[in-house]
Amino acid sequence: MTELVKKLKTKDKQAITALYNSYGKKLYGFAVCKWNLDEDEAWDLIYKTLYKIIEVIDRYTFENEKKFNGFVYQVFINNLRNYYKEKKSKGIETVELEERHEKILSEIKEEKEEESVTMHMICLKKILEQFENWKRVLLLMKAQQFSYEEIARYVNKPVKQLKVYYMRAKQVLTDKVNECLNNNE
Amino acid sequence: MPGKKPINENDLNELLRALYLDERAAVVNEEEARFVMEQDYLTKINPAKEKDLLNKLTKKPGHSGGKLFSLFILIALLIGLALFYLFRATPVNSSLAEQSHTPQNVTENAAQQNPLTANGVEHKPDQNNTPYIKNADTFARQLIQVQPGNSSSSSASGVPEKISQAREEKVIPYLSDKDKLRYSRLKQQILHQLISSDKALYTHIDAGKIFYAGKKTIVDAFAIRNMGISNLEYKTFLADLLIQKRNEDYFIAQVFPENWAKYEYPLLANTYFQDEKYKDFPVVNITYEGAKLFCQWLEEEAKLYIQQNKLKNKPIQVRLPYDEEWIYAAREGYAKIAFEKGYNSIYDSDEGLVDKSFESRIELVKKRVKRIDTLYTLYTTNKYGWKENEMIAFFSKAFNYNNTANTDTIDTERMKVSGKIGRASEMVNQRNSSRVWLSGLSWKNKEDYLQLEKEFKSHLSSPFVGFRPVVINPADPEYKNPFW
Repeated sequence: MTELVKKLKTKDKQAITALYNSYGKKLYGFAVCKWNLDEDEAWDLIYKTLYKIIEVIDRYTFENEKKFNGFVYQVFINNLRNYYKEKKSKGIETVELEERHEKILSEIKEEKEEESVTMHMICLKKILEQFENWKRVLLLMKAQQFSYEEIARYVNKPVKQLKVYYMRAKQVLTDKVNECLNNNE
Repeated sequence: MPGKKPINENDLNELLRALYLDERAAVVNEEEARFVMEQDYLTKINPAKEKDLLNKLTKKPGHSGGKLFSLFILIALLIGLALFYLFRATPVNSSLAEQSHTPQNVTENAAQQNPLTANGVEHKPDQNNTPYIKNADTFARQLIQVQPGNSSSSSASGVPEKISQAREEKVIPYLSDKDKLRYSRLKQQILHQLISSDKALYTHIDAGKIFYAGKKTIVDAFAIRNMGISNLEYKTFLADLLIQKRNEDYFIAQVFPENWAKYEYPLLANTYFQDEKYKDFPVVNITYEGAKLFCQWLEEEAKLYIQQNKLKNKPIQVRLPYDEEWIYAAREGYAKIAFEKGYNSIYDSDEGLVDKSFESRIELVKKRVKRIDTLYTLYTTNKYGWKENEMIAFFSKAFNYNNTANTDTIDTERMKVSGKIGRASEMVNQRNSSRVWLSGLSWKNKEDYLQLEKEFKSHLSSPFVGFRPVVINPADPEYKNPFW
């Protein structure tokens, strides 16, 4: 691993190919399968991720493979996050192209929605903090469309029980978030 | 999520995903990263996109470098074309041109100043003030210039509505005495094969009934070619028109190899008709009028051949097949018209396929052919819409079967292979109508057919369309002895 990082710092072509083979392919699959990106979006995202890694790798040192894994993944997640933000902002742009009175209405609607999303997020975070960590992970990973089998390996729980845990946890979370929203109206 | 309405399952998932991204973007979770990298994701990786990505990351030529490279090639091409035009515009020494075999158009004035010579024989300009192509080989040196960027504007998908098939510049190929002799011999072979009803070229089909266009139809006996008319046969016809000074007929019958370039086949534009290696492949890029003229020429020449050789044969009639004749020939399996994935019959706007039983019959032919003809997989291939390299690679398979081309022979064995591999759709007449169908291979569905038909109508010829004639004995109205 340190060898790969060393070579990446020299912008070695074989190292770049190795980086793609070891991480790019997996992240492409992850983007398509779990985050429902289409082919072009996913390739664009992988390109941005790998490009960024190659660009900034000079500034970092990694103790081991685990650290490098985490670094690659974090770059990817940041790009994914930006992608969703951009997508959302593009949606607002189309509203701005509408007629003036519609625009005003839309802006009001958007503002309300933004406020609502923020409130939802505040409540969600607040409630999730009360959950055991593995239940929290279960909810977050299930939202990414990981299967029970996959999650079971990660949280080290029996697959059969996991489904029940998930249904219960989701119900509790929904109820408590709604309760939180009502209390803050 | 308008207002602060109760959250539902979808909203919850959306929020959880957003939360996940916010949290993981801020804090590295190495365990989770390892987990994500260890999973198997069932996605197909597009090799082209993968290559593109790696090229971009390693900055290989193909992107910014590739653009520069393309630009360089384009500039080199433009300079080459400019030099070519300059060279063309400059009068050249005829003997030098002949030695180099470089195509040179020479105007009438130039021709008068420098009488063209080949094999020591002087050739005068023709009476129609038509310039000659000064070259040793009659048709082989016809050079098609492909203008950069031209192909995209007139490709199959964007065919101009009206294109005059007549070339602006009427050019008659120069025919040397050697060529005249060669083509005269070839003509004798063609006529001999026709009059002797060579089984390698002509199949006799007895009269019969066919269920055609919703009703029973009687089809009279006829003979049909086993394969389309070849490039060499058509060249012989064109050469004979020139020998007979039928220049106007030549212009009607001439081949338009530049059609290949319209479909982005620049190499084939300069080789398919011109190069001897394709001599036994079906002639394409000819007009309907050209195909009819060929039939008329063959009929007239056959009559003369019978007279000159004092044969007892009755005159025969040569023409393009009628729709029902073509289908009948194919259905009966006589004419070795191959099954193809797609419509193998003639599309009818009202009925779809004219006769669906045609396909099942062809399936039987297919089974039979499978046993006796290893070329089956080659000639049942649809070619319409292929790229040039695919087409050339496919055509080259014919050379594996018979790589020795005797340029002075109508080689039926070679034609058998080349005719199948190079097979194109064929012009077929509708009886008592001016309708021309494009029958057989080259297209795989109704949309392809309609597109091909549209292009053919627009260009008046196509690299995907050739023809095969039928021969009948009009002197035997009762068909007791329909053949000759």
